[in-house]
Amino acid sequence: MNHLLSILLVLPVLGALTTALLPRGEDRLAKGVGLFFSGLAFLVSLPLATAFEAGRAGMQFEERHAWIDRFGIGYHVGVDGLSVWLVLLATFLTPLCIWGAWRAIDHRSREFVVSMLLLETGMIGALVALDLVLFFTFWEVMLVPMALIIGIWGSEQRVKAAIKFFLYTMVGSALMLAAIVYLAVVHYQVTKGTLSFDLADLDRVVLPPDVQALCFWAFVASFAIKVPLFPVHTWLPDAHTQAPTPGSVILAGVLLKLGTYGFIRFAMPLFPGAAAEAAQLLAILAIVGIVYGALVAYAQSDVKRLVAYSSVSHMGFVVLGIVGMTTQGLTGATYQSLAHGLTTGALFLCIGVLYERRHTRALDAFGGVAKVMPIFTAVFMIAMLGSAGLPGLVGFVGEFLIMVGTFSGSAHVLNDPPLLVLVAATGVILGAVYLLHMFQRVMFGPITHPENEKLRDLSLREQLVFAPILALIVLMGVYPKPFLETIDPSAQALAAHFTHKRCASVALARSGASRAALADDFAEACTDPMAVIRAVYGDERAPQVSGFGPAPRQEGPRAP
Amino acid sequence: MNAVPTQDLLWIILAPLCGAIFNLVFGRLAMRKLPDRTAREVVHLVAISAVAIACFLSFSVWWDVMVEGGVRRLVQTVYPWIFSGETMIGFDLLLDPLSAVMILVVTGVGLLIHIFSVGYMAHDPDYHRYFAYLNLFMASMLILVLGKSLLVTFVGWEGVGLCSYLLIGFWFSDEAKASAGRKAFVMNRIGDFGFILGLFALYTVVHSLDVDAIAAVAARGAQSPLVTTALWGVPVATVATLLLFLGCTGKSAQIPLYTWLPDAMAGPTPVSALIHAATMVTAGVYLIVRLNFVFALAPLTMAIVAVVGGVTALFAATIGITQFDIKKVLAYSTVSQLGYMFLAAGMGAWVAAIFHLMTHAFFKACLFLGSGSVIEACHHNQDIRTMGGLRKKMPITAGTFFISCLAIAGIFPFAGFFSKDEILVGAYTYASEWSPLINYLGWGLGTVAAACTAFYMFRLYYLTFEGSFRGDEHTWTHHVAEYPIMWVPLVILAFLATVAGFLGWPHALGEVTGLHLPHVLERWLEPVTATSARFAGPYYVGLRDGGFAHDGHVTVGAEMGFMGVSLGVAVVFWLWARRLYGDGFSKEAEAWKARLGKLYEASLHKYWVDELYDAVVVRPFKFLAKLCYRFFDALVVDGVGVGGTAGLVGWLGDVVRVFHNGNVRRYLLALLVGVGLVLATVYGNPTVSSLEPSAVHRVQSRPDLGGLRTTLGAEPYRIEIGFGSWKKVIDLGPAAPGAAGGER
Repeated sequence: MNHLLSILLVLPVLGALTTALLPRGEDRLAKGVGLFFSGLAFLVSLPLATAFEAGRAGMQFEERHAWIDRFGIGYHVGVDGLSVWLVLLATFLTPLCIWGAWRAIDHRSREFVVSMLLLETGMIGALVALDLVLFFTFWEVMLVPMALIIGIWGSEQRVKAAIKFFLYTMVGSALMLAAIVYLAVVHYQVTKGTLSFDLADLDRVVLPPDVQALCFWAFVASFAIKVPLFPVHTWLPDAHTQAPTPGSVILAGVLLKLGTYGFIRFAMPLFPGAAAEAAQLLAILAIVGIVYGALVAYAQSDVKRLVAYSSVSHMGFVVLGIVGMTTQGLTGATYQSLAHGLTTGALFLCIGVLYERRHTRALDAFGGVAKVMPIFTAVFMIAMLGSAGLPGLVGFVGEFLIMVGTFSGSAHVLNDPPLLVLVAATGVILGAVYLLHMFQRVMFGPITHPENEKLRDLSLREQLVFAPILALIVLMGVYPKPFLETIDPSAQALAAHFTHKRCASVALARSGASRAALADDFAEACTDPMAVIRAVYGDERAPQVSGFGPAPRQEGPRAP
Repeated sequence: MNAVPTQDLLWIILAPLCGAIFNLVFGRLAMRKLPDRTAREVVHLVAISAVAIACFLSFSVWWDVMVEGGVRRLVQTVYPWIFSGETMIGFDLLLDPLSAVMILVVTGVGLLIHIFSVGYMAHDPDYHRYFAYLNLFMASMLILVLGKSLLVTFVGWEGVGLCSYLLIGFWFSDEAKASAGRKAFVMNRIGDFGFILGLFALYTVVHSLDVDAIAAVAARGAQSPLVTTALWGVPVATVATLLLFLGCTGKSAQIPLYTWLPDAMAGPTPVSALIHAATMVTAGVYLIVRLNFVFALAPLTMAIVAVVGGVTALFAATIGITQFDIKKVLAYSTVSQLGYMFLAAGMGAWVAAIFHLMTHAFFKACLFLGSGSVIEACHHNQDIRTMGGLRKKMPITAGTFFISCLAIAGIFPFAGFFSKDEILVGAYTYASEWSPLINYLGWGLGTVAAACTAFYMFRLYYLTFEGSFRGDEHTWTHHVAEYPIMWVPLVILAFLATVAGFLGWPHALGEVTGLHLPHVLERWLEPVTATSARFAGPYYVGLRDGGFAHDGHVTVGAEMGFMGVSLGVAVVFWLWARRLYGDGFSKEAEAWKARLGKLYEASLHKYWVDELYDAVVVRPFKFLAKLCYRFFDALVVDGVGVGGTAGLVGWLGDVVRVFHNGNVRRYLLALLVGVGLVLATVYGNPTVSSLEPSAVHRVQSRPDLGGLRTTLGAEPYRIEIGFGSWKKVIDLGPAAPGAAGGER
């Protein structure tokens, strides 16, 4: 059982090797093998859900081996509540994508399947890696197959989009690599001779403020591009629009989540002092992204671009939840990641269905489709409503937790969180505006193009691809308990850890030392971490900053 | 309390939900595979029995447990829904006197309208979809009403909004109808934005969204943290209630978010009766009364609610006078009547608000169904200019419609008389932040609106049912008729519209007539309003000084006076409407039209509010969206930012390309030089090539060096870059204390 994650990492590679050995031109066979291996990987990953011990915060299914011992690089994998569902999301979506692309991908199927499977390994690896070099390796491994999928099987402008995607993300990761190495060296110094890239080891290091900020932003550069956070989002619409349907689904479904996951797992806990300082800026960027993404989505005439911009808007919520560093916010952010993966994945699949039939993505080319495709209408509508965050569907749970956490509990890092949430909540209105606009343009009204009169409704295969996604969209909205009870303890632990380590960071800065130290050194000083933090940031400022304060007493004459 | 079958509560919701799921999943199959008649029978039998079960359960729980058993509160814990950290939102249901009134009205009226729909939708190809949505609506509405946590209420709140969207745009092939649905959803979402933010504000103080928990905190009155904590300098209670009220204006079609309701008439008429008259649109009133103890702590909000309600009541009524679409008149009438309810709620007359909610549900559902009957008979024509004289062929519809007109106009002894009177008396006599100014204003607006109501309702009645038919001959001979399945619900509703008023028999009438009936509704709702009734000082709710208060009641004389005025006004305007429209459009009516001139125009064009919103909100929004995309995203971020970076990289590439000219010998030379440099670096400075303790030790011996410099070594450091004659030196300075890294 303890090798589960390793098996999960090897299976897709094995599948990729098998597929690569198939003779050229055996398209169906290649896709079949791909489906088999990804399906197998999904089945193998199921114990992650069933055997995962709810209510425990630490890592589970952990596995550790020496890898490059000389540099302290280890093979260390494990999952906790914050990552386990994302791993399952990856294993869940990959076979559906391959199956969903059964007809859409009609050339070089073998290479396509190989790319998809390698991509799956990359994604899972990045999610389970607990060693920074291992993480970085998988992080980069993901990049290549994704760029290939966009560049080979994409639409007209595919090569340009692939290059843009590749360069954008490369810039970020280069900076992150530098920070990783730096952190390891500092760890080597403060521990007086232990070289390690293990997350747990490096997490003990507290950096002095300036370098901490540098390292934090180096990590953020990489993650923010991946999310993508405004204003480094412009690769996304191109990549999404040009990518083939399965590429878009995986990109939106899992790849973007790695950005926010990186924030949660690495950037925030490793550099809590800098993260707290930067929280306001990041929150504002996130909120700008929410509103801006929604506005721009509304202006699109290409359905796929519209959904791509909606991702910018939705992921803004996730970032907002993270930077507030509250338990609810972190739980909500993780949940919203899953929600966005399912709903946006479903939306891209829906667009794929339309594209397969009409070979266009222009809003103008449709209208009245609901009349001829009733089953598809129901599917599209549920996906759309889930994306709009309708209560009772998956999107609402995360949005609510993010906003309630930020509104009520994030004053320790943010200024006037109620105001921030107020602006963010306009995204709820705008979401309805652009999604309903899209839905009406495509599905309602009279049929204006004769081509649309003969559109086939969903085939059995397509219905079966959609069924599990839709089931989850509803189930996770109505009964989120099994998910929340695994996510919540990890989120609580992380929020507490963040505060403690932030206290250590503040204490370090206050002590006047210019060198890094170990967090444990401040254990005594930080028995009440919030008190230390407040002492530095000023107690009296707090009420105004949080937006809340004592009210003036009111003595009215209303009594009879 | 032991023998209470609490699981019944959940089944009240689950029954219509199951009906909806059945028709969504199997309805299409049935419609395709079975013969048409059988399929329709299967579909509506499932849908109707689902609602009938909910209705039966509601009545049995209410009667057995609440009335007979004397239990006033029933709580059912279903499961923990959303939780994280200290946040815990349970999917819990609460049946108390308030939600009991609501579920009885909702399931009762809902059942009648389901039955009516069988006739109205008899030939629609999407029969199954219609009933599925209708059932889904019932389930959502019941969740809204029964939710113990405000977030559960919010589920229903958005759920009914969704069903409203789906049903308004039911005939989606018509672009205008689809747009009307979208408009309703978006405007409701604006309200929901307020609702959810209001919840956050409450949550931050109460740390729960459970109604009981909020009540417990609010019960402390002036000492409650809801009052003593401020958000943005204003007490939280005020901020939260204002935000929640924004939600109410969206859902209950009040100024400024009312414009979706008249457009919502695009949906099938039974839908207008159920959703856009009797149930969903009253959700805002329900919410305020549900949270009466929080609203009472926010005098400012209360005053705003009252004024908005009063102004909406009059504003919408004046529009109703000039409309020609039978459903538009009823729609503006609904907006106006909802305004009355908010006027009452804003004055703290909670019982009056719920009373009017209930009576309005009966007579307005009856009116809408009657109009549906008429529309069906007139071959889906809704213009009253081409109707008239329909009473001759539709006596039952005309009779029930007339009764409902009497009720809504406030003619004794029909239901509307009692509820509207209670509101007007409350408006004048209850204490408010701005008493007595607001009392005069509220009462005045309400009374003038009552005059308008009587006028436009009887105008509608006479133009539709009296006089002679103004449409074409063919319709008159071949279509105009009544169907039993459609008039049975009408008769029941008309009966309720006649007698429901006796649930709120006023004290004064008892004194005068000697018929001392109890005010049943007031007694019934007493536990709901008990908390806010205890508030004192600025948060006091109840009769004010100088408002004819005597011994906890309004004096008999004053009350009779108020009744006389509203009854007189209603009768006068009824007779006037009869004179102008009793036999088609009279010359006098035309004369008035000319005399009013611009005023008439304004009312006819609904004061151009839609056009105003289009110019002020919709167009700027579209422009902003285009601006963001075309200018900012494409030009600034992608063009200057990313494109500029790419251009820079490209230029650098051009420069470096000089060295990549394919000359192998030059490559070899460069390679050798590079290898040499690497070797020199490695062996010349061992601190870089490997991380030996000694090297680190050397760095650590200089504690003044913090930050990045540590890795670079302790020596002075400079970078030289040069191309041809151009040369740039970046001097990072000597390794002096504090020069790098360091403190802030």
